Amino acid sequence: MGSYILRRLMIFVPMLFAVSLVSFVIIQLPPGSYLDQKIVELQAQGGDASSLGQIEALKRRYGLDAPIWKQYLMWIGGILTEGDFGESFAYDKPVNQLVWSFLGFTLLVSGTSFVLVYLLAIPLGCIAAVKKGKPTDHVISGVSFIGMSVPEFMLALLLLVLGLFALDYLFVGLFSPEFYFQPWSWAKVVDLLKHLPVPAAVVAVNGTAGLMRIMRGSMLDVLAEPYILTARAKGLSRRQVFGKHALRMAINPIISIMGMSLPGLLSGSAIIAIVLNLPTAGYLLFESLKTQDMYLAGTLMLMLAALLLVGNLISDIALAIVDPRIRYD
Amino acid sequence: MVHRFASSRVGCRAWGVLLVYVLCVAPAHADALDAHRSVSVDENLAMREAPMLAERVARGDLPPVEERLPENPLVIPVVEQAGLYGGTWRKFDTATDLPTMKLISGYYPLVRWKPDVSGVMPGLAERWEFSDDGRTITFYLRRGVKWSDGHPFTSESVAFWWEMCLDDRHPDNPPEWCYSNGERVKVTTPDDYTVVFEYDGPFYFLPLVMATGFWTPERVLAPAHYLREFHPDLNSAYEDFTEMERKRNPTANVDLPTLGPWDMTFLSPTADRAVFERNPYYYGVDPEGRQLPYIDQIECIRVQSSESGVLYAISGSLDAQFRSINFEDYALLKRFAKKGGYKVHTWEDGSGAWHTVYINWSTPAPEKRALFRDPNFRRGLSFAINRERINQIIWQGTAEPRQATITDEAWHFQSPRGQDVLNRWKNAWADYDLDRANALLDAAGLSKRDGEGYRMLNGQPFEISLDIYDIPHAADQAELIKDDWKQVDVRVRIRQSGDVDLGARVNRARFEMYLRITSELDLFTYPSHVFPTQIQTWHPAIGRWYTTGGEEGEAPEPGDVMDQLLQIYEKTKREPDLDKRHGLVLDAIELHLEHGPFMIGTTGRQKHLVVTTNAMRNVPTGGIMAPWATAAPGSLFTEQMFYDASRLYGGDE
Repeated sequence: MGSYILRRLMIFVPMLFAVSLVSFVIIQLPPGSYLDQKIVELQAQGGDASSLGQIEALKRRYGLDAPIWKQYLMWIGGILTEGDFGESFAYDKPVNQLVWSFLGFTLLVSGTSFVLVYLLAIPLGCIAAVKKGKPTDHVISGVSFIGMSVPEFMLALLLLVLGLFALDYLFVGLFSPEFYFQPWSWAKVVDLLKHLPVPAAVVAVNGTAGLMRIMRGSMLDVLAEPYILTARAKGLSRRQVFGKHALRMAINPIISIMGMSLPGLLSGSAIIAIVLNLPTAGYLLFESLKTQDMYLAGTLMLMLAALLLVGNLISDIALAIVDPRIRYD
Repeated sequence: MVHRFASSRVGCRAWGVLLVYVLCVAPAHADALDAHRSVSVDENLAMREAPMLAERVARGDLPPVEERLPENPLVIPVVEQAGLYGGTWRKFDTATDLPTMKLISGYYPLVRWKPDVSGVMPGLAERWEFSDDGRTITFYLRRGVKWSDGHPFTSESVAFWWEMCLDDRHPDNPPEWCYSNGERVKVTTPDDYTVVFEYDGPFYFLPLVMATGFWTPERVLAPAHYLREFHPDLNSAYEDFTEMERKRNPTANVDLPTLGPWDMTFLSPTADRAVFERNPYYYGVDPEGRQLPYIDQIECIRVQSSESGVLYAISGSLDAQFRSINFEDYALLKRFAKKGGYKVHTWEDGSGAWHTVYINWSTPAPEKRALFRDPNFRRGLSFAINRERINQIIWQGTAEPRQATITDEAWHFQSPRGQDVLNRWKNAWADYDLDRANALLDAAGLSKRDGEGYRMLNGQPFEISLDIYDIPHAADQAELIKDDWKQVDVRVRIRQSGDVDLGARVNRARFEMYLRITSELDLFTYPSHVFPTQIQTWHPAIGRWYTTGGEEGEAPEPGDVMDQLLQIYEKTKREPDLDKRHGLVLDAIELHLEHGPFMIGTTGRQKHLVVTTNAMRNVPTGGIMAPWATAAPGSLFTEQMFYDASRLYGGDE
């Protein structure tokens, strides 16, 4: 197993290189650059040739006057030699610092919703499968279809409206307004914990519904297997049949999906972040792509790719542990 | 509880949290920000400085107010009455560089626009004078003004800016207004309080240039004493100016000293929260000689869409917001005004047209270029627009159907002749008249139709590409215009682009038509809506030729309308008499009426929503928001706004 993990880890290196190259090229594809926006802004302010001169200087400062391949080499070189991911133009800050400062709240929101998704989806999916065709199944399936088809931003908007008109409560941000400028304190933590469930739940709805369908389908497949019939014929308790023999087989797809959903932790909540005004990395990615803040966007995309690779590795390892039939060759 | 939270309306707070809050947090607030509570209302009104500063003076870590104020402070008129010191102003911004905050705290120019934009008044320069030939302009700075760190403000600031402009290693170059007859101006500082600009030819716009926006003082009045620490020649830790430029960013560096009324003291790592505290050395006083600003601090949050900002207003967590509220939210804001405890004001946006179709004078395709230069074609398109329908559908009838002009309140139109020209301008080709539209388009050579019934150009299918930015109303208006032009058999393709993309294409004159807001108060310093002097609006190629001194872009034909407009602009710069200068601008607009329109307006005079909490007093009675050069609301003196006693002293339970 050790050599298997090592081999997988070694593949990461060329993969990440390829991803960095592709993401850098993709960022360059749309016409214009962040500086073009800056030019427009400077012209609106000064509207003269000096602003063009200033742009030239800015281009030199950010190395944007070099050809793209050279810019790429400079960027990747900085990452490899100094861990320097470049500078965010919009924030006027090194990308490293910026991403770190957004990471905390992002992991808090996405992590909570991640846990919520699995805590809800697995039991509900199993119940629906076991009670197939019964009213319980219809209710769970019905709700899950609604959850899958309602866009999450729509849910967020509905919440806002509900809060505004019915509850007199502001579902915006992760804190009550009076805590925005307070230093961390117990009361602020409590306030955060009170505000966290709503965005986390909204982020979780789509995922839960989808995962539940998969869990249900997988469980149904397993329940049709002869060995389940055998187990039941032998008189094992329902608990043992479903909990031990069926669930253990049916959970495999969920584990593979878990690995793939790791990047979602970082980028998943972008639209909800805009609607509910949350300071998350998903929004940062959206913003950076919109303004062509290229080193920031490139770094975030690189992080997403790395998370995907790591997530897949983790789920492969987890699958191997859960399912002894899987070998490492 | 503390007064600042009395108005918060989040209703679901559990009692336990309240208890924890009162036990653990509330005592921590008995700090500088509640200093005004240590004095009574009457004492507050009698003080010459904010109680929070008086406390610091008493402790000995701040010199007394007499030493902090200049010899001759700027006396700022109050809207209603002298105010109370204290309180926190909560507002939001939508961009990382906090532009709406800069318009409040960053407008500290040498010369200021008057609040009613009828002219300019002294700012950090006490006075200025022109030599008889108009070539030498001398600014006399206020004596004894200090930066927010207490360092004296002198002509060294301007000298430092000029030094950076001349240093090839530094990104700043001498701006275009530093040249006359191709010769660079000489900037000298004979003593600490005198700055002299010597031009090769007369240049009467300089005081106006100095009065524009937060960006002019931000560059020209540099905190030299602070920035020199990061100068590569003086500090071996730095190889180039990168670090100095980073330190110079007023919304990224909390240590940067300022001359403005509020100074940034806190910025969160995610750049979504910033605190601006009063500048203890601010050079402005109210008519009774009490140092401004009245309000202790500003808390600015960055929201990811302005709708979130509206929600904050509704929940009563917003104290004053002058920009970034969309007009569509008017009904919603009104509905909750009582609950949120705020007023909604309708100020002027200042738009002559929102939107305007800008027609590229130098459209890339030669056949289209010839067509677009035919006045018949442009007039035909203008007559074909059903402006009243746009007004009803997009603006619920609150706008005014009209031709594209600059802002009605612009000082060029104050004379009777000005009013007459403005009147003719805003009504020119602005009727909805399909017959005349069809006749004019036929006359422009578009009489033949293709198989689908659309007009053809030189026997080929003809289509106009209309670019729009991703901004409110642009897509809706574009669809209505497309539909209008379909009625006269002109085919339109709408293309929505990101800011970066379309901005770059406009810059390179690689577009046919695009939508933009027309709004401008001063054509002397921002001429581009009328004069083809800049690389934007409807004339980027000619503008490029003009700004690069003929090196790039497209030269105007000698004697054609572009050439004439450029010549008038050159004359305007050299004309010493203000009234004659206004006259020249009107001459240029007459040329538009003869050869235009160069830009086709739809509807104008939209309102701009301003929200202020009920407790906020001395709110300016109106302003014109869209032209940023006049820096509303900074130029309207937000430093004299204050909270009434109920907010500052009430709500104590």
